[in-house]
Amino acid sequence: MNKQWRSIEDLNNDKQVEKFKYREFQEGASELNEGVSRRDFLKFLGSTAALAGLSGCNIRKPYYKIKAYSKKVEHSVPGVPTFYATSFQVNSAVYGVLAETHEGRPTKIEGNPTYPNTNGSSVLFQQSSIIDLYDPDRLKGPLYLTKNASMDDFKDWMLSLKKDLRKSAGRGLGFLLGHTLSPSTYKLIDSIRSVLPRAKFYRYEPINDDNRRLALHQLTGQHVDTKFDLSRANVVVSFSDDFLSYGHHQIEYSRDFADRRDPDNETDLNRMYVFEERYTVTGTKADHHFPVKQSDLIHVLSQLLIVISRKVGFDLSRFTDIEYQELNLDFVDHKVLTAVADDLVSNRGRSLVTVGSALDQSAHQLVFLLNSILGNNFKTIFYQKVPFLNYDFNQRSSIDSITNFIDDLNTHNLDTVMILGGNPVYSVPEKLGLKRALSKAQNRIYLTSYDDETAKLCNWVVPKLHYLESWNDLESIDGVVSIAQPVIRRTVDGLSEHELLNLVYRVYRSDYAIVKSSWSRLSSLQYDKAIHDGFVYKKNTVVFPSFNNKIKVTANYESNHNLEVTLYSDYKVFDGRFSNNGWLQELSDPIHKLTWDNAAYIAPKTAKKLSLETGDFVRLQTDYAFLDIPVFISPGHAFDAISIPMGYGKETDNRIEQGVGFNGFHLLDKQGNIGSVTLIKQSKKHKFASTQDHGSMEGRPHVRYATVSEYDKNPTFAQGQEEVPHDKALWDNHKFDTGYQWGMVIDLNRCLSCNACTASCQAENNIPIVGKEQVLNGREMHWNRTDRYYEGDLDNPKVLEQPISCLHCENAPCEQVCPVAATVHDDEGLNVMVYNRCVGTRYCADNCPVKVRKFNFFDYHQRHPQAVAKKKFHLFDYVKEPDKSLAKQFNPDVTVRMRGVMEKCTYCIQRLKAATRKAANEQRVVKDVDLKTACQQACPTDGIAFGNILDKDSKVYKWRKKQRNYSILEQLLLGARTTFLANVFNPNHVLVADNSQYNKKHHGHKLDHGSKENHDNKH
Amino acid sequence: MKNEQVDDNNNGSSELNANNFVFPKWANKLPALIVVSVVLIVMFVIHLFWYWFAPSHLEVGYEPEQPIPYSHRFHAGELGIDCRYCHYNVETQAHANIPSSELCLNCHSQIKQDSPYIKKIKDHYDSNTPVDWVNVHMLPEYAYFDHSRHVNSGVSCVQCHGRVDQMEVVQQVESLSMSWCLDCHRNPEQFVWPKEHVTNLSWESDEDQLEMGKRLVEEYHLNPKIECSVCHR
Repeated sequence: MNKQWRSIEDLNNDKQVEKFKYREFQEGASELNEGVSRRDFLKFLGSTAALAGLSGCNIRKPYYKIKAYSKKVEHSVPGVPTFYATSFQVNSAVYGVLAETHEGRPTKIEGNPTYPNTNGSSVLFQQSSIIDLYDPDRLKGPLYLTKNASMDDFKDWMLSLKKDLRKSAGRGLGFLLGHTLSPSTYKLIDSIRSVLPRAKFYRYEPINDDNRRLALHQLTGQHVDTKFDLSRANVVVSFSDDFLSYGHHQIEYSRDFADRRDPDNETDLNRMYVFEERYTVTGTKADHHFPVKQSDLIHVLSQLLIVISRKVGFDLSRFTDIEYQELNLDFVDHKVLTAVADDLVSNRGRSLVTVGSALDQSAHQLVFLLNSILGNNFKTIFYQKVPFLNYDFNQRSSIDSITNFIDDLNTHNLDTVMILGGNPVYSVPEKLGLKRALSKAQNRIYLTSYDDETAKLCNWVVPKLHYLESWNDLESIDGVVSIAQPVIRRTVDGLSEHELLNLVYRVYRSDYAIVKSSWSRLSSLQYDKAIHDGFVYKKNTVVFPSFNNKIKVTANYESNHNLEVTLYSDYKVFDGRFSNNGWLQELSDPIHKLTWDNAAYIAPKTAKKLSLETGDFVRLQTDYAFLDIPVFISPGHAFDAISIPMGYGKETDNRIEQGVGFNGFHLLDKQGNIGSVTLIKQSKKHKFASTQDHGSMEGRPHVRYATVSEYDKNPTFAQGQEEVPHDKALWDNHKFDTGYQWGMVIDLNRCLSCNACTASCQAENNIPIVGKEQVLNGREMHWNRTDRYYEGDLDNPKVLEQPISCLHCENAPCEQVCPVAATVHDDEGLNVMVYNRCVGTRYCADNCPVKVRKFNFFDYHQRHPQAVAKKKFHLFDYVKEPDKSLAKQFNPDVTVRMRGVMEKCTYCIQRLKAATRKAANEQRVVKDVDLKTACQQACPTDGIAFGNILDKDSKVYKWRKKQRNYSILEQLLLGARTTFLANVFNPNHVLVADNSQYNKKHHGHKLDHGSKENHDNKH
Repeated sequence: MKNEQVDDNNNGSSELNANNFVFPKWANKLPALIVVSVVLIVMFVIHLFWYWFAPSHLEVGYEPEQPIPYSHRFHAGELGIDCRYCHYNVETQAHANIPSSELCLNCHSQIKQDSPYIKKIKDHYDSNTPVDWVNVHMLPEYAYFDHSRHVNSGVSCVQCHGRVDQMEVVQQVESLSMSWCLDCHRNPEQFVWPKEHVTNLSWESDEDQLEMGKRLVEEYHLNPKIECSVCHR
């Protein structure tokens, strides 16, 4: 067995990590190291008990009222959630969702099954968006010169502004928009232009596809973007394109990709090569991963193009002037290129080459050329018309547009600016001087959810409505047009984007009136149906752009060993727009398992060269700016390169994002790039709250994998990797052979580590966040985590992922040690946790081999960063209580656990009971269709099967019968109900022999056989 | 022993030192008295918790005043309106709903419109504000009770709520404690009725409850569980 390691410290058997392995709870984990300690608190309690004891005692039951509806609400049944279809936009992605509401209170977001191409699954941003609605830090009402004002004041003020604007036909009026996909917004823009023809529009979005779009426009004359058909692609080559982790097509791509990774499907496995500067989510699923500096990627790409064109006899000189150069990179040589080229050529029309939007335009043009040569265009890659590209401000690149905006401000061409998108003062390159330029405009109006950096420089700050509070309409790049409805009455005194635009040229109209009027061509029946289904219709946006032969692509390349810094969109807070979302902040990053932070990621070899360790502060110095940021050593990162996630280091007073991370935007130059950087090591140290070593299970073979050829030879490779002793249980094991027996199977081949399951679980099961200090102590509360293991060479290891939550062992070690029988088995095979019996001895967690039990040390709902001071001090209360607003998100069907109680995954027992009781009332048995756990429902790749393991029709039964099925820690005779399907990779045999990611596999096999022999000998 | 000594002194000596305290004779009984009273106090405390703090003592008989003195005795008893006319979710949902004001006005838009209470309900309806009914039967929040499963298994309303059709003001008649729940979950045959009679509170069986119960348990495939997860999650 090859060692699977979780961190460099783990690989080196560092003492710190040993502690995590052998101790469930870290030293002092039960001590509260701030304010009053537990002991002091108990003393304090003792002295107040005498006083409070009698007065606080209320023997009679509390006096509760039942407030029944005065008029019955249609479709509303008390205690039963109602689901409303709506949709929202994050950058260029449109998400069709169902909002689960309990008596008018939205509590959870699910994917909308009727929304095209999503199958009802969802991604992280959908799941976490619900808590943004209830964020207590949201602006509650408008601010005028940083003082509270009312919406009427704003409307009055707008009235006088409107008069002035009318007189001057909108001279000096400028709008700064984000990426806008709402047809109604564009209708309003048209109206504004007709009334105020001199008004100007600009746009800025720090994360964009401008490079690809403009490159393709230059080549083909059409505004198009790519769309893949991964179900048809046998070979995928990605140059730093993280297409599985973000974008409008994320769910569709994930599902199609996962379907092609299933060795039990009829189609062959696809093969993916990824060349990238850092490990991305897409990179972790690759069969071959090559760390290449971003500036070298264009070199690899152009050489690949040359090799392929020679193989197929294509004359490149007509199109490009790139020349053959010998490749001399750390991981990519001629042999690799030839192997990739052979693979691509032999799969002409069935392969796919893609390049990330961070790469410059020539790279995108070369890839278009390459895909044309390979005949992939219109077979595996389609081109879709980007919506609303007839508007001039959309045709320019983001950075062009913002530069223009700032120039106009500086030349006093703008005296009224309306900022409707993003947080430009934070995300626009500082070098452009937006801060200074803004002050030159007389009226600065800003629509935002938070009091942030931009709000500080604007005289009117208007609260923006959450998507669950306002009407909207959206058109995605797929051509799906949807009308989004609100599900709750406005919780803030704010405006939607439409309402604000409308106020500029006419009297106030509600968002409903605006959206409704732009859909007046729908009959009321059609309109209602569109609202109900969550979308109006789907247009065909696929076009067939023809290659403009006259274009020559020039790609100059010079290799160097300079340090290179790249910014990338964060997996959690994106460009910073979600940075006040506690759920996202506390989530472990899919690659580095970092919470509440970002870092400068750097390869181990480069770190060694610069004598850096994880946590060392460095100063990244460019000609124009510097950034102090701690480094985090990342195995598999390209050499001489640093990558930094965007979206951290906000300078606001919002309680979640305050003081979290470091702002990489500081390093951007005027073009939005990062020039040459020098690195200066500093003496300061930073503590990272990374969970990569938490819940360690001591190097047993948890994630099992094989290559396709190995799998064909030995389909049951995953079984028998552990030596299983004879069952010498002290008591007879229960026979779980009747009724419902719940079980789960997780297909590791399908897991992309997108974290949607963890967020979904958090929303469903009222799981609190704990904050960075507590994560450092290993006290994070997530019931479901995704473990990431590295295997092999430190410089380019293989990455293996494994989502894990309570296994519901039939022979559960936790149950055997509980002194008060607070965790017991029920007859349906669930390992149930009885909160009221639990006295908090924590023996169960100590004895849990997979470390999935979480102890609520300090009532984290009350100790939430956004908790408020409590008015009444009661004997058993803390001085704080959860914010009323956040408590509205709680799922009423799940107990809100208090401190001192152990908790863990329940297989969503509330959903189980709802389904079984409904079925029992209807005198039938529960089938797969009746029931989905929260993680299963969210999973974009359908990688989780859950159901009755005795039901032969159920998916979980079929999956458990698969040969890849194995259960971890078999040697403990757990009888785990959650089992895993082993990974199967499809590496290129030409490259396996000398690829560090696979070359140790042989050794692993030996041991595998060895243990089998041992096993046989015993019998 | 000390007392004896004192006695000896009294008998044998001529003078008594006034500063010398002497236990009186009844003090001999003190140890016994202490033992008895400690036992009594302990028994009292046990009794206090065992009986007085038990739900059967604390909860039973809870009869709060409602904002509108709706009479179940009159509506359900004398008029014979079925429980499910107002609590219509009881057969399909976990919660047996409290009716909306709208539902009261189904009849009372015609009947007894002059009553001040009906006017009050009308006001609530017109202003779209809820009537603040006081919760009588209250389970702790960690117990998730499902009405529909019980009603559909032949557990009559009367088993938990008593003869509501005879109550002018609704009061709690059962303890609703966990052990009380388990009594029935362990021996369902002692309590189940035919499903068609569950809302007929005055129904009485002709046959013996035990015999009928055993028959019905089989017929309805009843298998009430006593696992924690049945009620707690």
